Amino acid sequence: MTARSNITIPERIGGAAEVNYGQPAAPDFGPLARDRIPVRTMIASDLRALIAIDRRITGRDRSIYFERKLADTLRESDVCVSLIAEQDGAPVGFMMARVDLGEFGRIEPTAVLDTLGVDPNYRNRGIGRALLSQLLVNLTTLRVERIRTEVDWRDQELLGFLDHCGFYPAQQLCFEGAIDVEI
Amino acid sequence: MLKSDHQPHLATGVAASTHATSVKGAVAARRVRADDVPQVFALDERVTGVAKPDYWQDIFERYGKHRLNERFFLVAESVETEIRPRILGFIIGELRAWEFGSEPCGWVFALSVDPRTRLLGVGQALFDAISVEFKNAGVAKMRTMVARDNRLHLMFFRSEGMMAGPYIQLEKEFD
Repeated sequence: MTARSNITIPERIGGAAEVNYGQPAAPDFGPLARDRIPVRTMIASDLRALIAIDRRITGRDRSIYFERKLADTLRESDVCVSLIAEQDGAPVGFMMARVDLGEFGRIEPTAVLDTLGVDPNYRNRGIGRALLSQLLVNLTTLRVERIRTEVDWRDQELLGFLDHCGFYPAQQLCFEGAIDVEI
Repeated sequence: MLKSDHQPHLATGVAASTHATSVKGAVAARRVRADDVPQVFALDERVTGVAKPDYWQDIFERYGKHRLNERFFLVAESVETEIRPRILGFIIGELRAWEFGSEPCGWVFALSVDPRTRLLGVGQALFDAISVEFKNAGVAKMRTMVARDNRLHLMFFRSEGMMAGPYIQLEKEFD
């Protein structure tokens, strides 16, 4: 400490320690996960794999939803930002997103992540992180600076994953109402 | 095609003589048409202060022309043809189903009313119209996301009986 008149100025903050260049890297989950797990752009022939993975996760057949989503991704988006992760030469995870501009007056391009699935047999192997990491890289090249998603507050597993990947609550409130109009 | 494609939703407007443009009589909500897009674009620019012509053309292509049984781009206009501007407001929503496992539900993602015709039932007409569209499409709930500091939208949706929903919006800014 340096004493000067009646105030004390700290010479450093925290305890004295050498920089440990041998310690594990900072929690940047991306590069390592991407290196280990091949991630590629989604194509039309991935539909059956998407439906199968989702059925293993949810126990439901959501073929119609995935047909529609894939059509949106491949035909309506100006840029494809949906991805497939592979292991042993087969799809084991997917992530689907779109790029929006201007909802409720927003003017900056924002990506919206709305579908994510990892085969239960391949959980905890960094598949989701690899997908998200590649998605962020792709979006950065498109000059998108922000990604958002909407999650049910009861979905603890998904919230935990997104928290770990650096997501935080946005300044938006969800409103919901029953539709009770007469037709 | 839905019944509501042919039948405009009507709401009685309360005339306000102090407004520069008063909406006397009824406000009709209907599907957007190509010739509405410049007025929608102009209204959005007036409200947000930002011109987004490419965005609005893209939104019209996606929500005004394709998959109209699950996408709803509605505009409100006065039934009195001499009123200008003709388009008094718009609302856009869509059915979203099974995203992250959620049950099918209607989402409203854009709503705007000409500042000169607020408090005259335009927003109400649009809200009612899209509610009918959602109900016709088979969903019983609607949701929206509103910025915490957007008091106008907060008050409007609360006044329509909407309450806090179970979703949390998360975001991540790129480093």
